[in-house]
Amino acid sequence: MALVFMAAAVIFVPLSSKLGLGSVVGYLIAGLVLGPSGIAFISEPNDIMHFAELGVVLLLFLIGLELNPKKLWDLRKSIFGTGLAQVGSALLVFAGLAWLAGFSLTVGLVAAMGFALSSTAVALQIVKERSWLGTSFGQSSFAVLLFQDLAVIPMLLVLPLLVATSGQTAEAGSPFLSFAKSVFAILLIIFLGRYVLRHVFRLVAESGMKEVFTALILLLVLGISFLMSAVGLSMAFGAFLAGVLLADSEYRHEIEIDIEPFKGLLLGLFFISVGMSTDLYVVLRSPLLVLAVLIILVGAKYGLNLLIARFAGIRGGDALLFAALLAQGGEFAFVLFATSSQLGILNSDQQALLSLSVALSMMATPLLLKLTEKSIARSLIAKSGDKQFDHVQNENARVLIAGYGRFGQMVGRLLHSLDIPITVLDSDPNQIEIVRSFGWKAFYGDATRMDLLHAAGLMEAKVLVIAIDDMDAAERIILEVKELKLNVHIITRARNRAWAFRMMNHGVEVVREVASASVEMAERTLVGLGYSQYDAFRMSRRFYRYDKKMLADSAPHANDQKFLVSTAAKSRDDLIQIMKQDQQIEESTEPQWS
Amino acid sequence: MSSLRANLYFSHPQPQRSRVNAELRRAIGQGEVPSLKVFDLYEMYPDFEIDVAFEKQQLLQADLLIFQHPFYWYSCPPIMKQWIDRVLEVGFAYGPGGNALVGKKWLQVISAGGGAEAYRAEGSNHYTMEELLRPFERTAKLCGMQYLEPLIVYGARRISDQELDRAGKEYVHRIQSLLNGGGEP
Repeated sequence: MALVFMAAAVIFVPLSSKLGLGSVVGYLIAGLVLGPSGIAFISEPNDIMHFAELGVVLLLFLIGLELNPKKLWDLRKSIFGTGLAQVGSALLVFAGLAWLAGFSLTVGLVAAMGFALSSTAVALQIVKERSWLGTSFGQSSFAVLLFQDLAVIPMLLVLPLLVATSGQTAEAGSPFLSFAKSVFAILLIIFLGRYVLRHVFRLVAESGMKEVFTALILLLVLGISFLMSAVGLSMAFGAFLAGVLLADSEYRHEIEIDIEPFKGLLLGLFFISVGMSTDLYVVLRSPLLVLAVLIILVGAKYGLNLLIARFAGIRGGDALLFAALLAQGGEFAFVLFATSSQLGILNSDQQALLSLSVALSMMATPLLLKLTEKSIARSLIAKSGDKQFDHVQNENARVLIAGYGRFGQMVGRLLHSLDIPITVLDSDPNQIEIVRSFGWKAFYGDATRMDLLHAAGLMEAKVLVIAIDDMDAAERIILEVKELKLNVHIITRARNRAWAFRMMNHGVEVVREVASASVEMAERTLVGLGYSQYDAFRMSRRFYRYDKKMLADSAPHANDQKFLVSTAAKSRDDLIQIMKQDQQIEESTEPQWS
Repeated sequence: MSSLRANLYFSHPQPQRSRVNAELRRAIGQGEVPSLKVFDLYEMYPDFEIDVAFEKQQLLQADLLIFQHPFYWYSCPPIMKQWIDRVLEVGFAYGPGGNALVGKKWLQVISAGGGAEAYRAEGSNHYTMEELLRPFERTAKLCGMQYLEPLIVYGARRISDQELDRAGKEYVHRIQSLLNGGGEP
């Protein structure tokens, strides 16, 4: 059975990634296919669901772990301002809509809670893929997601209380007793966490047995989850709490690294099981209803997010991206709905409908984003009056900078200070607006697209600066442009030596990302040690020249094989090799003055 | 008479390996020359990017410019030449409207490897120090400055401690008398 799961994952996930839909959608589709809606390979998905819920548990544990109070404090305005506004307004709107549609208040509230939260997995993944964390709207969406993570706690705590209100029998007598039990459990965990856990971890860490460490973490998470479910709370919340408790311990990074592989696997499994339990027949039976709910979910969230964006000071294209990024239901919805169903708050039809809507909304997000980006691109072109490929009257900039993040900006600023006109290509609409406001030409979009490069004046360019941080994309640009056999001088950013070799062998000039900054650091270190500024300057420049020469000399010999098999051991060997050569810079090359 | 202000432009690429210049600098630093401003050019501009605006401003506030350096290849170390080339701008130091430095004094304090006897027509260097320093003299004169008799420490390679010490004292004395409006030697 594991074989089938993995096969399905291997088939669908890369496929959906390729289509730009992200991996989560791939897992969901794999689940759909495998489950009763598809080929019905698994017909009792609920069992799988329990096991897979561990994935979510671990996810929440990791989120709790990464929630350091300082980060929370730094982002507090965004988190408690924008975040609160988003969740609050979404809750009101959805609960209100549900009530108007005739659902009971409890059902409406549960649906609202599930719909209000966005998908950390989908949204954060996209943010990371597009390197949007550096933008202000990227950070705002991150803050909102953080707030939503926090909001999960009260939501999960409220659920058992809703059971009582909806008239179903609670698990153990009166709601007040279960509340008391919950509080007790939480206090117990906090006590253990603060006073006991750290010592236990230290003991195990000192023993040096890595496997025991990992086992201890898993044991901890499972134990707490078990405890939580015993008192009627959600396991996920318990794990979250455990994570937060360990967040400021010295073992945090160890734990993160150890858990990561498990989390990935189990999360994938979780999404597969969600896909499996998604009852497509609901669609067949009432397609219009599903469509209606989906449109309401995505549409209302999109609209609300746009308002929130204005309120948070995000403008223009960025606001549209922000709105689309968070316009879906999240993975917590599945947990919420499943738990609610178990507690009897939702019936199975309702759970199916709601879960399906959320799953579909997650799938819809990448599409929505694509559409948003296209319309932004169109509107930016329209604003400046450019038409594609038209030759522009005023003199074309001779410098094209692809990628206007930190790296590209420095280049642009220097050229700008010399009044050299430049043209910029970037995928952040905000940057484009700023650059345009200084009178330069800027194009929004994916710099690997040849039509965009042409529109930006590639044919007239004297220098093409490739400053994007996606190395594969950079290589694509190089190969495409080289094929045109233009007279343009290409200079590219390279992440590291391996990429430097690769790009040098394509015949372009390369500047390594951190090399000159590190050299500068070394120079300052020498001065800190008491060397004169001039000696430090000479020595570090000399070393840098030598390093660049060594790089150029090794490039022809660095074949693709070496690059592909780049392991930690290999780069360690490289370093040893390099350092041996370094020692051969003799003192005799040090100039002698009389 | 009020005390004059002096700028010392120190040009040595490796002061930590210097004996004579380091000692001279120590002497002048510790001598009682309160209004002395020291500009260690290699330290300030390791990349040779002179901050011209700053340097010009500093020049305006000085009456005596002292250039202390070793005699490399009958001239000064490159940073000083760079300073001369970049800072003494037309319209500022010379040329039409270029009278910022008129009346100021130019004094070189030089350490030379060879003995005094080498700097004669019949000596190994074939020219006297006065002849070899003519480019600097002309530079100063073109800027309307007073070119003072340079202070030379000969035989820097073999100089004894006592002689070096004496040279240091002479340096301090010379500067003090210049700054206190003493007669021109």
